[in-house]
Amino acid sequence: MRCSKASKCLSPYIDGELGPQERALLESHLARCGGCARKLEELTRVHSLFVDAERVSAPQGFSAEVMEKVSAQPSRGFSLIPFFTRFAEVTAVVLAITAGIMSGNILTNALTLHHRGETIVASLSLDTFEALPPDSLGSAYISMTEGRQ
Amino acid sequence: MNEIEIIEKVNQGDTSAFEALVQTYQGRIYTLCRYLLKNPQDAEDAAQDTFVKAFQGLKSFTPTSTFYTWLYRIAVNTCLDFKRKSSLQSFYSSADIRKKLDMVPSKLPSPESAYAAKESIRALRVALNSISEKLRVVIVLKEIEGLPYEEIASILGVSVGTVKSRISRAREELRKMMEEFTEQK
Repeated sequence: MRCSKASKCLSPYIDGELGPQERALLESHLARCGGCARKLEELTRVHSLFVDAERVSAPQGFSAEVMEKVSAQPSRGFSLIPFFTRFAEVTAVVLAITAGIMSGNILTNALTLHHRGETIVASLSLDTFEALPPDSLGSAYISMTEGRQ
Repeated sequence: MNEIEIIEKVNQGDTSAFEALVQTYQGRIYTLCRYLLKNPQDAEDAAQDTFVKAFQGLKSFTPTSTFYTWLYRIAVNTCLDFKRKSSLQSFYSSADIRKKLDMVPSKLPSPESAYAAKESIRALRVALNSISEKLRVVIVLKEIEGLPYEEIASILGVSVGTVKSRISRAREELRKMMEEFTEQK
């Protein structure tokens, strides 16, 4: 094993993460290479400092504070209410549009009826008749009747 | 009741059952946050946020990974988010590092005395806070939490090879900094 490979194996060796074959090769190299052996010693010293590193307990009341925040979250059990709440806005919009369309149709129909009514009345009115051509039989008849009056 | 049973109970609506999980992991998660964040108050907030996020996401937890791997992943991401939000405050400037180094005794006494051990730990803390976030996370998960490489890889979403490489680099950087501390004056 070369030093370049050995130096990459030093940390995993400290952590017990080397396979048996690699471990054997590294140990054989360390027995012959003072430089790598020294490096291993230094890295082991860094590793051992962590043994005394502080492991702290959570502050007093920590779990109570967490549970308070957690309890303020929305209910997790199955309920239809969230389902309806979730779609309430969409439902409201759809209903508004439908109502609008329906009222629009009613209005249009009413106007149409009114217009048709007007049209019917108008069609019955003599005022809607076009003027008779002057030399026509109808014009002559009208002149005779007007003359009698 | 095992963790899976507790999780099922919580998912069925029994919120109070979640407290058992909080009490089991609060120490480890808080310790992790203390090492990843500079400010103790930030660490406490991040630790609490971790559990709240875990509660919110509990329905999406699948037993393909262990619960604590999943929880640690949330904790690491929460701490990284904290750092990004308060980026001006979370990182030591070079002036800060100098100041901190000046507080460390110029020559570390031998590791046999309790005082020496305390000073070494303080120096280690300074050195730890001075390395990059990426390296700090892996070395804390390895050295403080004692997690195997595969778990760390799973938590961080990287390969085992990447974890090995980062741990090696982290130890090397810490070694150099500790050497600097001993060479001062």
